Amino acid sequence: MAATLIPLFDFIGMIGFLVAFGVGLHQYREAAFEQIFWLAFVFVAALGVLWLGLVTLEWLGIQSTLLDVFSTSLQAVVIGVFAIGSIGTLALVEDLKASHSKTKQERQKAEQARAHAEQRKRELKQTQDLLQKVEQMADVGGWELDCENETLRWTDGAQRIFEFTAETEPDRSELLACVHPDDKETLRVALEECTQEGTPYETELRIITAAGKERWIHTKGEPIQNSTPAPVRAVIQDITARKEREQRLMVLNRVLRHNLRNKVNVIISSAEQLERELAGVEYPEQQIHTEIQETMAAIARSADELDGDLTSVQQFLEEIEAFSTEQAQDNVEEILTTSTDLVSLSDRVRHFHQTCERGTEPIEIGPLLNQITAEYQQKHPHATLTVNGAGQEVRGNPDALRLALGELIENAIIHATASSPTVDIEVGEATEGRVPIRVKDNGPGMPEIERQVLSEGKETPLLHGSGLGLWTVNWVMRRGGGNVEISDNQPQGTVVTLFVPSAT
Amino acid sequence: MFPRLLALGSLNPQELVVLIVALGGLVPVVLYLQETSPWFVIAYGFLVVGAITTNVENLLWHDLFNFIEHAVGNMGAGIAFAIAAYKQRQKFKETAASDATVPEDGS
Repeated sequence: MAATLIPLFDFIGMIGFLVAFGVGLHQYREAAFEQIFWLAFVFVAALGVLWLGLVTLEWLGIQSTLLDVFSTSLQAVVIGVFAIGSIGTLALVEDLKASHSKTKQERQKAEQARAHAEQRKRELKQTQDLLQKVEQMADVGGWELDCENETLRWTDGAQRIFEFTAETEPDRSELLACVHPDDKETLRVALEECTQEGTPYETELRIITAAGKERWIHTKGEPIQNSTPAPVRAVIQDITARKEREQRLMVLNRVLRHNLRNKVNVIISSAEQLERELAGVEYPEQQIHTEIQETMAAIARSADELDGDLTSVQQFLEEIEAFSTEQAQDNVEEILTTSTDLVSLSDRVRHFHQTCERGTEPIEIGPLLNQITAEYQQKHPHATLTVNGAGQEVRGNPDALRLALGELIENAIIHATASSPTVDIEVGEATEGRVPIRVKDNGPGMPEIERQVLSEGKETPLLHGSGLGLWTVNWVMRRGGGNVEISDNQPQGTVVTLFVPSAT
Repeated sequence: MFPRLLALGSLNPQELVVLIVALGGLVPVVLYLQETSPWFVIAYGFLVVGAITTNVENLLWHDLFNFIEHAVGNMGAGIAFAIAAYKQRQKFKETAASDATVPEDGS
């Protein structure tokens, strides 16, 4: 019974190998890199089919020694190929698959990392754009100083404030070179303490931009790391406009508090004196008429009363004689002069604000100077005004330049001690994009206090100028991108130099 | 009880080669046991059983071992081989599907 089942077992085994062959062949066509496994598998399955087919035939009675040898050999081949070919390649394929999967995952990770980097790059770009807009809007910037190699990293805002080009990569020394000579030490000490001791700093100082403009900045710095020397990160804000406003407020405050009050005091004093003089006299004409009429009537009434009335008339005449018409006229003139000064001061303030409204444009300096000198020559015929070397073209606000030059010429003539004051205007050659216009006079020289307040940019109750003129000149020049320098003229007098941006 | 046990001369050299090959083939099978599908190991195990029993049947209990050789060794190997093929196909398909949907973090 058992022996009869044996061919069935072999046949079923052959069918099993046949099914495996079919599956293997199908998979071989579809497979990618595991093809080698399926190839070995199909080969083993085919050998298995052949082997068990021959064994089945043997049991079905088709027997021969050759067939037996062949089938036994096939069994050995099937086992050998199965062990080495099929299982070996399966292990190989598994390794390959793992490797492939790992590579694929790594590739996907790399893709994700690249996408992430792109995303971060876009976000960084957006942040940079936002920072740029904020810096522009707030007039701020920043820089980082690496003390190891003395390099500076600037934001666009800082470059804009210092007027550096995008290609410029200034270092620490160039940063300090841009600071105003009077403020250089302040920043140097602050930076030294910050890098060496980690002390944060906050200060306001002046810089000279790459284009030569003077600007006020508010800067705040702090160390980034706890190392020595520590790298420093600083933010800067352009406060030039604020400083100008502060200066104007300060000067106008002084004008209101000091100049206007003084002049009003003069008016009050003159008025009070006039009042006192007038108080001693009751309106003389009317009173005399009345008294004379009354006296004439009294003469008619009584000769006895004549003596007393004449005495009364004499008293009035004496009072009239004591009243000084000249003194009263002087007081009135003083009131008029002082009032005119006040109106003039007010007009100048208004004129200054109107002048500042106009923008800059190319100006041919020659015709403008000729026009101004002609105007002031006509106004002050006793003065001598000359213009030299006026062939340059500048860029500025013509009204502002006219106002500044007018102030300087007017001051030079008014404050002159000589009977025939001279004012020489010289236009120099442009250097570093600026044209110097020198206004020279032969007056007594500018008081040191006037120069000092202009140099320091502030007034105090004890240290202040006398008017608005020099401040006005300074403000309008700065507003147009220029600046003012004051020096002594030889042998006497003052030279005020206006540096105006060149048109070219 | 074991009159033929010592009659090693009755062993068929060819079948002995089959046994040697089968035992030698155990080396890669054991080495790659972790990476290999269990049904391949089972199928190979059946082949080894067949190789052993085809030799043992020449020494003793011919009918029993002959039955075991054909029922377990040959038929078992064929069926296990077919199942192993099917399982391996399924496994490759699943791996391919999971490869196509790698998680966000790549893990």
